[in-house]
Amino acid sequence: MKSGPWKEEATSPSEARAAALFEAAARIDVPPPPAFEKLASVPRVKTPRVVVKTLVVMLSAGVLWGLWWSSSPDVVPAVPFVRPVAAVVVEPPRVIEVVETPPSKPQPPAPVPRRVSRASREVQVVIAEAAPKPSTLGEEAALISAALQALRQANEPTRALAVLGDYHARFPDGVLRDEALLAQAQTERALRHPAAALALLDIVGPSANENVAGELDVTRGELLAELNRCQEAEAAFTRALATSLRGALAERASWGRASCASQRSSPDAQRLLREFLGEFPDGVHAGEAADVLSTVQLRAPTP
Amino acid sequence: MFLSLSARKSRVGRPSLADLYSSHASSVMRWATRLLGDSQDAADVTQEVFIIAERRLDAFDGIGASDATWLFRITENVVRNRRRSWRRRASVIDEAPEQRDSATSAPAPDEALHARRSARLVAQVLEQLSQTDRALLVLFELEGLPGERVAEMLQLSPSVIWVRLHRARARFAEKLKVFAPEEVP
Repeated sequence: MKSGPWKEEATSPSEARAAALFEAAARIDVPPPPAFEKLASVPRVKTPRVVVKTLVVMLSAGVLWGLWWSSSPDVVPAVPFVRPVAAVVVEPPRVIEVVETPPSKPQPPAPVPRRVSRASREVQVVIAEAAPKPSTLGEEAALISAALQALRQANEPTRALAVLGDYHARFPDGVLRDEALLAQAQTERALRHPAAALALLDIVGPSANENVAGELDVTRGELLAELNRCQEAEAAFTRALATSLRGALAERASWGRASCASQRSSPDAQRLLREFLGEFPDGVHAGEAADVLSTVQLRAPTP
Repeated sequence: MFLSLSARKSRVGRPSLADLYSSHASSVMRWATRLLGDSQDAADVTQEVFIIAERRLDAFDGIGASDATWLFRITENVVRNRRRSWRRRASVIDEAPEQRDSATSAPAPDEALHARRSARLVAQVLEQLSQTDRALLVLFELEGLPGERVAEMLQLSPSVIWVRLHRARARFAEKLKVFAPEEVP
């Protein structure tokens, strides 16, 4: 297949028009090219290649440096990105609300960024001063959670103790120190070491926060009862019940107090057992409490 | 710094700039005129093409592309860059090159004027086409080169050149309808 002049092969009016246009355009007068000598006289700069190479090297170095800068983990982002971060960081009350205990010991100053650009230096200094120490709450909670999981679900108190030992090594002044000690006491108790458990609770004692204070007293009372120190146990249960205990913890405290009172043949035993049964008629220890109550009633002198 | 081009020796199998210029300067001048739609800037484009060719002469090995093919591509690029700079300048000072040309050109005889107007319109519509379509139409329809030579220059198979040409023609006609619906050549 070959092609002839467009004008003869045009298949539509628009093509015919285009062909005519080309035919007219082809007749444009084309002047002769300039003389070669004229081209030779055009000044040329010999250096652009060197300049271009230098620029390319400088640009490449700049790009690489920028990439390295932005990928560095300890560098605070540049100003446009820092501003919102600063706004978020300057909300320490939110973290404190979660923990509900201010740091008991002075925190070491936050690490200053290693490389700080001149433009963002001012903002970053503000952040370094305003921001609290990077929170370890998540890591602490994860360790304690892992320990409790090993103790309660996997029934591996030894592994739980190892995890808690790791916690104390990493966070000697951790925010969740009391919770860790309590978990450790529960683990020791599971290992049938009530004395060790009680010693751990005594460490927590005075500084216990409200979250754990009730559970601490209940556990302490149970441990004292196991060690046949019923009078102290009863005091611990009474102290626990004075707080706003609820649910299983309240049941444990109420039952512990009534049980200890009956063991000591306290005159209040009958009343405490009735109170327990009235409050937790379907509780875990309800049947046992009914038996103890009937025994106490038999022992009691007839009025 | 002035380079003495005449002193430049041609290497084995590689033409010197002087050889290239004497062989192809007229062709480059014509291509530039066709692609620009005007001969006024064609001389400048021709000089620029050969200055670029001189700079790249060492890199051009002549394998896989003839001198004419190579120079045609450079011409296309130079014309495209020049049009781009025109557009930028026109957007800044609101002076299109066409307006400038018509304002400064001396009155021409009717036929020459008609040819110039047609050439300008063809160049403007060619700008809307692909590089291959543009090259096909310039070389075949305006330059009047035989199909085999066009195929060789564009490094296309001779068997497909005619199909490509017909398609390029159709596309040009369509673009012309859109670009200049009322103008009668």
